[in-house]
Amino acid sequence: MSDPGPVAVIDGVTFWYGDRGNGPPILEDVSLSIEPRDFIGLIGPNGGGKTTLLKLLLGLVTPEIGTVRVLGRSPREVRRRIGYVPQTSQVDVKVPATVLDVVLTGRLGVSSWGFRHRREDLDRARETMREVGVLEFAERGFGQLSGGQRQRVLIARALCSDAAILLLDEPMAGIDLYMEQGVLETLRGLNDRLPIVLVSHDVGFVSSHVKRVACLNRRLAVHAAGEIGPDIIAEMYRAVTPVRAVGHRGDCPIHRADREVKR
Amino acid sequence: MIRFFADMAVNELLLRGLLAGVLAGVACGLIGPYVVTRRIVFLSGAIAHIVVGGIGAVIFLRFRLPGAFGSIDPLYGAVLSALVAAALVGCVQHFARERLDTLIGALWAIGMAVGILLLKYTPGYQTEIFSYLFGNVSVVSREDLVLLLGLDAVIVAALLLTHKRLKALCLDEEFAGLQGISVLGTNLLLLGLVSLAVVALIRVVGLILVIALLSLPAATSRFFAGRLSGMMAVSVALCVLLTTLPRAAVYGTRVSPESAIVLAAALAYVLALLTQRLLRGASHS
Repeated sequence: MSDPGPVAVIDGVTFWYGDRGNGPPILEDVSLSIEPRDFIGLIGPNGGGKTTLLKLLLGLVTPEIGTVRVLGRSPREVRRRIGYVPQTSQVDVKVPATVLDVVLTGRLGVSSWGFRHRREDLDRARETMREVGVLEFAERGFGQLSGGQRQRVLIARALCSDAAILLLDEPMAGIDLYMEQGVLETLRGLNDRLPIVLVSHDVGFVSSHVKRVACLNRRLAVHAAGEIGPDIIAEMYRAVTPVRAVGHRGDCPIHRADREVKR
Repeated sequence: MIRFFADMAVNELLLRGLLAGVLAGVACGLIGPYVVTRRIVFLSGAIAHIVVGGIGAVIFLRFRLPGAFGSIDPLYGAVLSALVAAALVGCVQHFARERLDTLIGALWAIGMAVGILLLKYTPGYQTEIFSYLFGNVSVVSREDLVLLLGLDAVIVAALLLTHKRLKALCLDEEFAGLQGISVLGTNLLLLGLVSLAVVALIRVVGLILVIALLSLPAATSRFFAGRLSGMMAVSVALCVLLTTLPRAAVYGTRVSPESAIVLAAALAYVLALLTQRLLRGASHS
């Protein structure tokens, strides 16, 4: 096999919600190529378009300008190959279901009819749970797990439909530093075989653990994680806060930093 | 209670009533866990009360136009109006989420009002509507039993086919949607099944008390089962016991069997709750 090429490509996407020309777009001329072993940290202020970018990759929204391809197809066509980890709060922990039940919902894209789960689906679910280290909790209630364990269960759910790429929305929100380490180890292990895109507010975390940092604030700037020094992080924190407060979609400071680095 | 079973041997009505209880118990035992888990008790109540309007309409039409509607059993009108009610409630839930409680409350009251209004213009049928509102398990006909059996068959078949989808909907609606499951469609299916269970319960406890049997046994079963399928098994057993034993217990007394069923269901729930609290307290100390 020759060079496999990028797993996902976003090319020249400009995106508005609702009517076009109704104010500035959420995303403007955004391009991103996600390589097979990529680990991208997606950061940016609230309203900067991070969630929209994830929605584009998931095929939940389609751009009028530009294209999004995953595995060379439209995201809708290959949706079950796209592993997605939303924020924990969206799973109803009061529902009587075991951890295995939760993971098995990741197989719905493969088989969704019937009362019982197929042998093949159960095997695949257990295999993924072993990979992310939650197999021992299979028969426990999802609500009984700690935040870090839940997050890993959701990663297993995202992966068990034979995912070729993993998208995580704020996976470290609401879990403590110790658990964060565990989740991070899991992700590092998975990164040996899949590209990962991780949305985060934690600039420090992102810059020290991912391979590339994508800063999104309507426009996107990407650079290697090593390029971000403490001074740039500090500047970003300073600048991001007023951007949030005023709601002004200015240039993300990291863009400037990036350009300076290139110069 | 012994007299109840002794009389049953000679009184076919008692036997039919008992069978109706068992069949309705199966329906509500299977559907109750979804209702409780997905927190749609209130929506189910609205469906039940819209059905009052449907039954009222059938009784009214039967009286006014006996040529066209004379032979229709009001319970078939109930099935039809229950399905319409499920569609209405499901659409409100999907498209008007922010004003859900207001709109559902309105549908609830309107359904009831239409039923009462139509019956006002149907002289001589007031007692019949009472049997639908409060249940009348002692006058179950053969046709009623056939209908109940049909409802159970539809519910069982539907669950065998779609349990995984319904479970996923309860667990994480958004994620189920991402996996290509139609959220609106699956939700309408669930409400449709709820509405069939509501109709099945009409004969046994009446529309007003339907909610008690849809929610209490399922809530009780939660104490004994950690999974949805386990809850369904326990709540079917509970429902069948609850729709039969309390009737036998109050047989020959002046206590209404329908009220006895609901109060027994409430008692079972409270006992399970207290037992669980005590056990938990004991394990902590």
